[in-house]
Amino acid sequence: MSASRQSRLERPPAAPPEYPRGVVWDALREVGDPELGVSLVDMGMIVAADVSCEVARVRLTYTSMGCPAGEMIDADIRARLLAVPGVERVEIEIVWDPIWTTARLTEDARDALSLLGVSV
Amino acid sequence: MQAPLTDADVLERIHAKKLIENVDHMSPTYLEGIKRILTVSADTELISAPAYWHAARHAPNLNSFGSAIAIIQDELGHAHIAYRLLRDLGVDTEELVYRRDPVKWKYPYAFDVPLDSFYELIVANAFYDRAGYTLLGDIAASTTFGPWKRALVKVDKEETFHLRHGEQWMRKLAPDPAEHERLQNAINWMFLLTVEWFGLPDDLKKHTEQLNFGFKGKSNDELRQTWMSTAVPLCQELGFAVPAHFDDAGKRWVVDCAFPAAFDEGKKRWLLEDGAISWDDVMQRWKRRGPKNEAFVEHVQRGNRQLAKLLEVA
Repeated sequence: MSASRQSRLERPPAAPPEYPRGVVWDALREVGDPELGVSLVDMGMIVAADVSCEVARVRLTYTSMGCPAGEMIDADIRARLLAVPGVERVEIEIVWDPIWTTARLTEDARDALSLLGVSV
Repeated sequence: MQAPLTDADVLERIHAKKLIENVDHMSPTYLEGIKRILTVSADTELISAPAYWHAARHAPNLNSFGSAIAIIQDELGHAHIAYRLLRDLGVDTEELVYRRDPVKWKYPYAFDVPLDSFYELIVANAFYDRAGYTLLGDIAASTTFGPWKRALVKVDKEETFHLRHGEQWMRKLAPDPAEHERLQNAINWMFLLTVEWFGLPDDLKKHTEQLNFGFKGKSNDELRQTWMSTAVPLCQELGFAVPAHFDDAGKRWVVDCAFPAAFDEGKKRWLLEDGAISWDDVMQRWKRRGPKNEAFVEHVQRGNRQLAKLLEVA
């Protein structure tokens, strides 16, 4: 066995990175809907989000099928989450259950939308 | 509709930091001026719909077609807002939209030159919508006409989406040499058309009430600088050639070619080898309108005529 191989075997496994509680959700709060500017979290479009072993996973729904801003939202989420320390990969799953309705909007989103002249 | 105040009354209200909310707060000069600039804005938004539709049909897949259609829908909404404000000011918008001679429409000449491919649509989003964002963002921040200021909050967000749509596609396609060349060909004729978009240079501008009454905050040349300050770096970052650079000594963006110049609208080519022309020559081209003016206005007006016929029969 070579010295370097032996050294690798003897090295203790690296501890998985630890992430601050809610780090992915906090990052996603900074990603706005491209047409409205309201955070995806407040829009109720993030169904689930977590991070482990360098992979951030997001379950995302759109406000409608065939969302015209879908590709932009996908790119924005990836760019923001890849900026989180310890995240090397982002997996986004589009889900339609639960179905999006205005009931998923937070109060902050309702206030922001009303300022834009959008009734909800 | 009569505007009862004098110009001095209006200026006093504006200097007291109060917004103009309706005709009762206007002088005849303010009323005519705000109608003029609102008509330009409304016409621009509306004509962008058939202009973008002409190119959206070339979208490479369903998703991008959906994005293009959403942008067109936004533009129609923006037009509706501006025409609605004009109606509140006593303008017969049915006449204005559905029965006006195409040559009398007030949108930028650039929209008269057809966008014949998805590449040209992308560049239009990155250039033309950026121009719209520049103009309307300034109005939203500075206009003294309250109803327009409030209505533009949502318009501003949506225009951001449009120009990002163009930018995103340019970034996606630029690394591929063949796609890069196709985009460059579009940029070659569309860049200077958008530089023209902001109108006459300040020293030649006639309608001084736009700034005096605060319909908008920045002059034509200042807005042109704002547009170039983001459009040129975008092109440079992606390796596209544009005839403009930032002049460190003058601290301003400058055009590097003959400008304004004659434009061969059939070939979509600037006749730069002929040297610069006068702004009077440009004005003549704008007033004559371009190749798609009649067709795009007809696209808008046709449905209204057809509906009227149906109602007559019924």
